[in-house]
Amino acid sequence: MSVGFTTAAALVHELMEARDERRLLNLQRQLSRLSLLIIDELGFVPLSPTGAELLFEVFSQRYERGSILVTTNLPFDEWTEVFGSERLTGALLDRLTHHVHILEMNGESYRLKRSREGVVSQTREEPHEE
Amino acid sequence: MDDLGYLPQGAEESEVLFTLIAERYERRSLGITSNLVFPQCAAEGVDHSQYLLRLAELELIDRHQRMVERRIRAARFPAVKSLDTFDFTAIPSVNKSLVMELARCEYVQHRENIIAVGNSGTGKTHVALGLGPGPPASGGCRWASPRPPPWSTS
Repeated sequence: MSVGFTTAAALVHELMEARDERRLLNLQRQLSRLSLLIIDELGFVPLSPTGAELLFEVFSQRYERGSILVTTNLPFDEWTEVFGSERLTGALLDRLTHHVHILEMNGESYRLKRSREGVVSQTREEPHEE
Repeated sequence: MDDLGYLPQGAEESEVLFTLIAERYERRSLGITSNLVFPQCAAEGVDHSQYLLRLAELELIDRHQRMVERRIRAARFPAVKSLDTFDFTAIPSVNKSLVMELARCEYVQHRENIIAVGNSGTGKTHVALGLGPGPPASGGCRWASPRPPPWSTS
């Protein structure tokens, strides 16, 4: 299987650039050849109307043809804020969630936790170094 | 291959030799003369052919590992992460059995999707990376021929 990993922001950027350079069709064709497309961090940055449309097209072209793995910090009811249009978001979610496994991952940030623990252990270790 | 062991070999030479042995493994025969008793053979009471076989196997495993790592890089994964290192106890809300089932990658064959949703820092990206085809040891799905993703290298 062939896999591609990208962030939502980078993918949209790449799609816009491809469109400007008149090679969008080519990029879309290449994307459709991936059996799994991983789109990381959807929702951190709101998309421009064009960006939202281009991303929608990617989702729509993969529907029942290839898998998508999305990671997002946003519950579904807030996706409209990212894609702008309610109609577009509805259609996108409709396709994406038709055959979907949802992983709910909520909890304390391990990055925060670890850096907090790191600070503690650092202060503890200081006397040993002398 | 005559006189193996009279002259010490550098790391690079040894690697070439490994590759040669690994390439011939189960395809062609190899005859070696040597003055050395493999120290490990002596210690473990294994005969030479078994030792050579073991060397060749190790080389094959190593080569497969490198191939997988190359493909992970080609897929532009930001890191090589496996679910083995994911701390499920830290994020109790995540359904571990579902994650492990998905890790078999049948969802890709069935063209199904996955959405990992949750606040920042709960390991969504880690799980996403682990649910793609991973290192061979982790089982699950496998990589096909390497094909770099369409986006250009920055």
